[in-house]
Amino acid sequence: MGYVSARGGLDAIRAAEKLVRTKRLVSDSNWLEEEQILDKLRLLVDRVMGEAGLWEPQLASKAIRQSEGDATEAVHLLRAYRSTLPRLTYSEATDVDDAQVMRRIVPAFQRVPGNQLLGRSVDYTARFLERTADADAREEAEKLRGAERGIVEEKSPPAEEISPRRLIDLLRDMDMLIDRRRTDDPEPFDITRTPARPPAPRSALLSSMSRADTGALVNQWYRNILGPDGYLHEVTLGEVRHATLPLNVRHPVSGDVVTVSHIRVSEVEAIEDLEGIDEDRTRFDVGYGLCFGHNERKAIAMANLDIACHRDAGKTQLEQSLLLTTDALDSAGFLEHLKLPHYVTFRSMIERKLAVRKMRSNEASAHDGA
Amino acid sequence: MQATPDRLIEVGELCAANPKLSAALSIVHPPTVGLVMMQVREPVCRERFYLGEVVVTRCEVLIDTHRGWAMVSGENKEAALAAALCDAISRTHEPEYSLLRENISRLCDETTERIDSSTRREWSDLAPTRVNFEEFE
Repeated sequence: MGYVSARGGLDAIRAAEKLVRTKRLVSDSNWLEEEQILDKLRLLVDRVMGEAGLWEPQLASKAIRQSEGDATEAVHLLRAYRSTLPRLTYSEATDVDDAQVMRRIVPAFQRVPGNQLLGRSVDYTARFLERTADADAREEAEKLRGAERGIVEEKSPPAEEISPRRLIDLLRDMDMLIDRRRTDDPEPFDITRTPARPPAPRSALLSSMSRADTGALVNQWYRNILGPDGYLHEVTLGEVRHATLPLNVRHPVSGDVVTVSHIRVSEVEAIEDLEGIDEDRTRFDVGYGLCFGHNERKAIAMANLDIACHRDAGKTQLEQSLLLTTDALDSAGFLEHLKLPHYVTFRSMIERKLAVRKMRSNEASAHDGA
Repeated sequence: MQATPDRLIEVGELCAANPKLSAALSIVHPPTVGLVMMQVREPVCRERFYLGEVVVTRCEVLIDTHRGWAMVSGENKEAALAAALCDAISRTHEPEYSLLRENISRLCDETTERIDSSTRREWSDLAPTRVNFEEFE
């Protein structure tokens, strides 16, 4: 790494920091409440938690406010905070089949077990920038609030709809799926304790992608599917879900499994049409994506990259790329360090060039003399 | 442990005000904010992996010989202490704590009802978004 430390500048650093703080705290606009960030910028909060690998909506909203909306900076703040906390325990393994859906679509198949539920989505809506005046928007909000209060009928959701059977279960019933179910139950790889390097177990890859930068993962997916890797393949999504999962821990006194809280997740299954020479072309295979919060873009990229990595089996640099270049803090940290003083590094580069020139000039003189 | 922090603290304060309890209470592990690594089992290979960490607060108390333990979500030391107290009291059989046990039992029922009601309310919003796309003939 090229960075060499520099001294001094402390007064200017303090003044710059004060400038940031003052401009953030002192302004003519209203104080930005945490509740507003949680409520109105929920997808940003979810994205920051997912990329930080840390679930705590209140803290994420504080981080977003402190970072003035810079998602990567907010991830940095959360990771820094996380590093001060002890690891109390590992949860019991939550089976994702225990998830309760708030949105569930199956793009691959029309008739699926349970219903398809669009939930909170604008996927099917034309995008127009709303330029409604604030007063009109507030009036509309009041009307909608009134309409919400008017809802009286509250029914319990049918079990087959709130925890629907998966499309892959149906495909298994039809013997259309490669069966990769394991019986040995290996201990998961903990990427927060040991950096994952290829070849890594799948659990390391899944954890890395779960907390990867959304943009980086989407870019990897796009490059993989349309780029120079030679993997132009058909993509079909099985399940796309936004759901809640229970966080379960074992009670040390009673020994019972107890639920501490519920975490929202996005979950995707990507169905892969196998067409390789060595592959079973009569069946499909499946990739899996799961990340904190409502971030379908990330979960879709993850699911496709999971199966791409499995099929690639180390033939290209895909796994290395996913493990080493998609973390928001790693990549942004390396990039941003370039802004720090590199005077010594650059001076030595100039000196090397001058030395080369001098050497060439000496060689030319010697040649002319001869 | 899923009760609202306000209600937990309210019942916890009621417990702490019991004269017998204050003499019998000792704190085994004071409320500590920390992390739980969330482990999930995925459906394709049935493999476990770590999804990420969750911020929680944990506490452990002792009332005479009855251990009480709790973990609540987020940073909330008061709620964790209150939940650990409730857990310990719910394991007692002494008549002096019977009123507290009733309060705790009510809190549990109330929490279950709150969660169920929230699910029902949410479902009433979601149900109209059921979809059945048709194929072009």
